[in-house]
Amino acid sequence: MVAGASIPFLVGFNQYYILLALQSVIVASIALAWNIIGGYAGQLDLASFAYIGLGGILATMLMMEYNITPWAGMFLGAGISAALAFVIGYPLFRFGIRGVWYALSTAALVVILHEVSIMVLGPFDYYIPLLEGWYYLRFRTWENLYYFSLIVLAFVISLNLYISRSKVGYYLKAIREDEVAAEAVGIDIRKYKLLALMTYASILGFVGYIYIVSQRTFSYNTFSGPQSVYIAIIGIVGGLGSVSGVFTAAIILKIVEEYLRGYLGGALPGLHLLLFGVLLITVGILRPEGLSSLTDTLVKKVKTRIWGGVRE
Amino acid sequence: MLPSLNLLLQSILDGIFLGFLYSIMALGLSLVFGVMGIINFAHGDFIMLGSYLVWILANSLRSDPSLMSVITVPLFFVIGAAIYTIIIRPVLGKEPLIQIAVTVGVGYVLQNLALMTFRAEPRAVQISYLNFYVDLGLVSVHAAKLVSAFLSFLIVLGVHYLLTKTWVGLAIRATAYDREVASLMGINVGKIFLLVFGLGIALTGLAASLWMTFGQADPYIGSSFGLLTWVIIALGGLGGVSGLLASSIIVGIIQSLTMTLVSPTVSLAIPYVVFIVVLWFRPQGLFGKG
Amino acid sequence: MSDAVLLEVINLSKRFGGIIALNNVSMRITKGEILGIIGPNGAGKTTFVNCVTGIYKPDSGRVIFLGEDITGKQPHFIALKGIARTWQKIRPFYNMTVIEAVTAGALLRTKDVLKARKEAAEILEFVGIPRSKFEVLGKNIALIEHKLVDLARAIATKPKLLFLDEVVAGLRPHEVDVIADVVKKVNREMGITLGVIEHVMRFVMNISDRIVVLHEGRLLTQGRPAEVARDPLVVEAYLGTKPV
Repeated sequence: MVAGASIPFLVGFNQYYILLALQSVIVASIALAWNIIGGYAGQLDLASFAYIGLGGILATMLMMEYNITPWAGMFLGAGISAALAFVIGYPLFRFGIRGVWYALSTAALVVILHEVSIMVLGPFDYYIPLLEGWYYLRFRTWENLYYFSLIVLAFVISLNLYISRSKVGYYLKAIREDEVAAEAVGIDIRKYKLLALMTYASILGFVGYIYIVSQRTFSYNTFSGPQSVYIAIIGIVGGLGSVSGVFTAAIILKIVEEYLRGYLGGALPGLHLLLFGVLLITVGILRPEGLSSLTDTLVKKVKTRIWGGVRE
Repeated sequence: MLPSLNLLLQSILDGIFLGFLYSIMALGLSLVFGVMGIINFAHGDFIMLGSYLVWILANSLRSDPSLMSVITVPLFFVIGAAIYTIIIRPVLGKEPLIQIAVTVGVGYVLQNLALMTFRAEPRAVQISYLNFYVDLGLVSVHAAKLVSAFLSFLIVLGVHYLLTKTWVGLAIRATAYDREVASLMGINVGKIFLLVFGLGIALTGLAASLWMTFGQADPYIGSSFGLLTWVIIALGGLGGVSGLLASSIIVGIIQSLTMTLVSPTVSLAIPYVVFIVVLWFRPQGLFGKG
Repeated sequence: MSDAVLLEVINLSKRFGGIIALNNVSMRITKGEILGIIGPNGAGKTTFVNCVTGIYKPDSGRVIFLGEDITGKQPHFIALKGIARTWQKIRPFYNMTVIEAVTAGALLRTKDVLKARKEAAEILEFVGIPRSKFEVLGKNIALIEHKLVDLARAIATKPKLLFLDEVVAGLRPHEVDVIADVVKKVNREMGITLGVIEHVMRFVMNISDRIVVLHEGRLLTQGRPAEVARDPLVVEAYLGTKPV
């Protein structure tokens, strides 16, 4: 955290880098939220930007139309995304839809929201007015929002670690490993999957506002299927259930994306996504546990050095 | 403002033609899923790939897209076999999430490859021998659509014949039914998987060349076709050819009607809504055993 | 030895398409006993367990556990009520460690993860898994260890009734004896009633107090192991011919 907070100073308040850091932190938060439904519960959810878009656009429009502070808007965004997750998840889980059919349903969800938002919002890009101050969580420079996003990230990481060590975490992992065996030891798989889904969705709904602010615009394209897949790629390449792996993957992939964009300009759109697709395939075939084996041992080494032993 | 009878009938007719074409797309997927138990998330994106290929070939050879199937079908069979060997086979024993994720990756790569190479504007072929209408009074029939539908139907019947009346088909069905028993009976399951996957992709090559006789290519048609075929399979189950044809035609009609009566935009979303609804209430589809 | 009836199954039937897997099966399991459930392949043994534990919903009949009707209820509900089972085709938690898997079972009865983990450790040692194996991932252990961990995981849910579904399938003879000893220990020292579905005669005849024989979905006969072994109907069912 301290390392993260010091970044703005390190780069001499260069706005480009701070914005990059901000976007990286946001992506990491999203991917770590995905880790709850994908990494722990083992459901391949491809709808992250359905929840981000819904919560974020709601918060943004409440601010733009009714001058309601995003501090309230973000929580409302979390709420509405959680509600959507319930509406989608309850029937899906109740009918035992899992695996590929679950993935497809979530992919369908984003598309539906995408099309619906074209009708509702029109094919326009909406630019966020420059209303300044903590009331609007919007500033002329990016540092303040970046600090806020660090706090959000810290929260999401803590939540992940908490879940991992709690009864919920054990149950979700059991569900991921073998649903039938999990049920036989008394785990209500529908309830826990829904819990994981709604937690993930609320975080995304909350984060939606700062995502939109960091993008400076929103439109029907905020409900992006390919971007949702990108999040899942990070979650898998990082290693299912590995906080350190997913965090590292998020940062690295974001940096690669920026580098490629800067290097090749607009010449080859989608190149970075293509490479990430190849990365996903390679990881799946050769090393399904992703980065986790590397990052977990690294984290253990660091912990030993700091605390002189690994706490369990 | 009620639509005229003309418009309605026209829409339904077009939907039926479209449905037949969709059945080819769904057939490949259904075969692979039924025999190998894996879901090729990238299935639609192969159709997209094929469409671009047909576009390039048809334009450079100055010929009708449907004739390009002579090239695309064998080529895509080889591509399918390659994909199976390099990507699918290694993950067959791994956990389902990884299996799905790998095919998601393939689709992602194809989509972005197309985006990079061709940009996002839709592409259509310049020459199409069958780009004319036959006026039948109440409705008019687009020749290309009719021919595509007819050819699709023939191919579906052909595959059905292959599956039911030939030795290879029997081996395929045996493997689909029970992999272990089939291998105990001397069937080389690995070869069957290779064959079926190759066939599945070859069918996408065929679907692409038929599609391009009246349609357009853009990087995202793969997602549309992919989800449409999923809807068809969810609706029709894996029961058999008749279920497949029936649900394909229903989907085609639904899409066509929504496009005419509501709006083209909504018509993209409607199949997905149908999909989710079908999944909720009939996980085994409307027709066959799931 | 008490006479309390733990499980009462009344006219249980289940069919799959054209196949009648269970045909009006009725039986009782009394508290404290080890009941062996045997029968040739396809007799309906595993279907029976699946119906009792909620994996299948029976087409007709009733399952009554400790006086409560649990017919057709969800598996996790039934586990909560106190019926556990092990798996014929092993179902480990591959990417969880041995201790984590058993802890997941123990968490049914407590929210405290540390407490559950301690209980898990005790149970694992009880069934004979050494501490050195606790942190090994499920995908890296041997078959006999799988069986013991599966057993520990089921026991961790503190069941009153435990079904073992062909627990010694695929094990070598000395491993079968290991399991037999553990099973007897579980019954005597933990007071868990057992239903043992089995194919390996040496094992099931050795440990059972009573035997029930299923054949083609029906209850053929029941009684003490020695009686059942001599019963000509049973011999015919297994060998397909009348004994000379």
